[in-house]
Amino acid sequence: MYRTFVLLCYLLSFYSFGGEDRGTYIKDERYKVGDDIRWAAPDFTDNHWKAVFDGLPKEQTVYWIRSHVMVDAQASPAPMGVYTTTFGSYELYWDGQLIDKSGVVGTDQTSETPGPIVNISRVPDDAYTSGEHIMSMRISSFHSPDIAREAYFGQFFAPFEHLQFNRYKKNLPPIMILGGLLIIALYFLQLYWIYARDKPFLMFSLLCFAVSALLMTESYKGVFGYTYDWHIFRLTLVSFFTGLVSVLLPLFLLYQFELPFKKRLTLAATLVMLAINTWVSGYDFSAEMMFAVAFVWALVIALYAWKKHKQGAMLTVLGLLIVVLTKAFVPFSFQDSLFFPSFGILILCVLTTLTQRMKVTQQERNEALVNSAQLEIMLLKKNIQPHFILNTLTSIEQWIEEEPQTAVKFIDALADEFKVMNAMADQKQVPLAQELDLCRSHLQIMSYRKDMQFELTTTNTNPELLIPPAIIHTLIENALTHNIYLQGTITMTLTQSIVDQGICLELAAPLNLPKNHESQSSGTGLKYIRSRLEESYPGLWDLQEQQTAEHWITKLIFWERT
Amino acid sequence: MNIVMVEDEVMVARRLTKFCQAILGDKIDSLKHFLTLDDGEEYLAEHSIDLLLLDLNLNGQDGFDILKSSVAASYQTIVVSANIDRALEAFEYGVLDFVAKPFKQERLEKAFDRLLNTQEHGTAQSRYLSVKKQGRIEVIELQNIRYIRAASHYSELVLLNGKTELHDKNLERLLMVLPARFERVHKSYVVPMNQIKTLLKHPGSKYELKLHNDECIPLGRTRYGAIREKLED
Repeated sequence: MYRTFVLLCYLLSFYSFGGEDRGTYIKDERYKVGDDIRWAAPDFTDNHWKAVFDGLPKEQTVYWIRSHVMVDAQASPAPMGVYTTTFGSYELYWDGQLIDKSGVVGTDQTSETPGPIVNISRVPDDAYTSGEHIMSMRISSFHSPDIAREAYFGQFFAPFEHLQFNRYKKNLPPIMILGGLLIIALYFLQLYWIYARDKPFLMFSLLCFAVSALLMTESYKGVFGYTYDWHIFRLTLVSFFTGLVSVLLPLFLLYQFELPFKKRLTLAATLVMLAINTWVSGYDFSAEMMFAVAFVWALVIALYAWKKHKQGAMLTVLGLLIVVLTKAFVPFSFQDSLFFPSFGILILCVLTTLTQRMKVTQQERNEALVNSAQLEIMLLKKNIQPHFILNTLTSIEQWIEEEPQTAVKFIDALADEFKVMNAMADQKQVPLAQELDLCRSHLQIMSYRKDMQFELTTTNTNPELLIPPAIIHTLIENALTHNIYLQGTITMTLTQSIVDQGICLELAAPLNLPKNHESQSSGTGLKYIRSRLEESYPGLWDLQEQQTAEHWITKLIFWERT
Repeated sequence: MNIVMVEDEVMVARRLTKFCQAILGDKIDSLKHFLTLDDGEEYLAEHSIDLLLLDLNLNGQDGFDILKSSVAASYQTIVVSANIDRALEAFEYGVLDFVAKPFKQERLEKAFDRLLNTQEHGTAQSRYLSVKKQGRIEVIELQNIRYIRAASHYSELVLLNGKTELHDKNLERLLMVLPARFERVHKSYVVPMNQIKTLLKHPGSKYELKLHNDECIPLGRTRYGAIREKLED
């Protein structure tokens, strides 16, 4: 937590607001549709031209803009640059002298070559003197989109080096975050693919990809630039990725905190985003709306998760609060580059909770593995525990001397039990038929050992029913350990039935407890059965024991997960 | 000889019976078989026997409790068990022998030899003696015994703290399950060698042993030579 906070402060410290230079400024920007090279002349009278402030030409055409520039060369020394962004190719004149070109101005779509969306021009040092200057532009807008054509114009003066440097400085943090995010996105995709098919991993990867795509489209203008005719396309992409991030962020949290109604809530969020995109005008404003809805919604989810004591919810709330509060107290646009560092902090918080989650998952997995390994060992030990094997071997010795043929059958039964047990050892579930084979070979062995007859009959059993290995076998062992069977035929009965929509296996063993007998339940045997049932039907099983006048009855009930 | 066998495995019991008969022949006066010690309780209460062949599942919780009560009795106990890993512990409690399953007739014969050949003792590895006290079993560490005195059919254990405990076994049978340092010094006395301080010679060929607490116990004339030799070692 503390480390996260320190890192957060460090990231924010990258940020500083550079003040604009006010020694050079533009006034009286006016335009006129038409084309006349004389309009570049400093002494031309333009006071009857329309003000740019009131809107540029509504149609695709050629027009001129003239501005009066006040220069204080002392306050803002050369070299000075002009930053221009508009939907048009243009030629830039300084006191009638051509100083820069952006694309090629034409008289129609074919003759015009679109210029870059952002252009920085340098005012010649010798022409940059204190006093008023005329800056004029010859513009053609034949590749401009119909949306925002008359409104899209921005121009200002600033020291030339500052302008050049600023475009990288401003975009450096988003680009750094983009690099990090892409690696995180790929890493979590791999985690999902190779390590564990855990939905939050996939969702987080997708969220990081979407934020990366948004960062990429956001900073593409400043970092790489493009001709102005691509601008609307980029804005559409930005809107799309803004919407995608707005839907994925809450969706990821729903998965992360294992909350219900994921599909319905996400469908609703998607519809809200589409509605905002359709009915709210202005790319920036609709993006802000989408993010505002998404973050408030995400905060609600995280707070709910916190209330439900979900792991990592508090850290996520903190991360979301940082984004929301930064937005509330530091007036920046969501599109502004400050947004992304605060988003980066959110990602960091979420990453921490995901790492914690991985730790928990790994622990659970290890425990399950250890548990399975222990159960397998317990099962294998049944056949090699000294009490069983040495008594069996002693009995065999006696049979060999008394009745060699019976001894051979005895050894065969022993071999059968070994074979079945070995085949089952590494299985978590086996068909009931196989389990019955195991039980019958065990009863056969005990018949030879006690020189009497043990039998197992079944009622209603489904041979294909899958059950954990050796659990009926263990019940039979318990019955044989605790009861004293002397002679004749002892028949145990296994009955399958349905109880409360669960499957019930009931073993009834004839009761013949020894004198001074205290408790029937055998610790290790039942522990084995309980562990096996929990492994196969976590939380969905029951073990009941009851004693009737003539039988000891054990019921195993389990429900399949629906 | 009267023998009781406690064995819940019918085939093993048959094998034991067969070997007993082969080894002891007409030395057997009676041979009774019970499935559990509880079943044989009544019989044991009414009959005086010489040997108990006991099958124990020593892995169970009460296996050693049964063992402790059985070694406290007047008869000798030979354990016949599959739990070979607990044999050492069984010896510590004073069983005459521990025969691991599966067993051969020769092995059982060796166990019976220890019972029949009373002169031969000193191999026992016991560390404790169990005594019956008001229906309960109490375990006494051998190192707390000062000496043992015959008391008709029983033995009286005189402890270092001055107390005495009664053991159901007579001196002869007790000696069989005691380690070599317990010496018969008189027909009625057994002393651990490390408790003897000096040997006293009185006029008229009367001998006594002075113990560390200056208590004197008689030393038999026939035992004098052997004990002196051992004390000089």
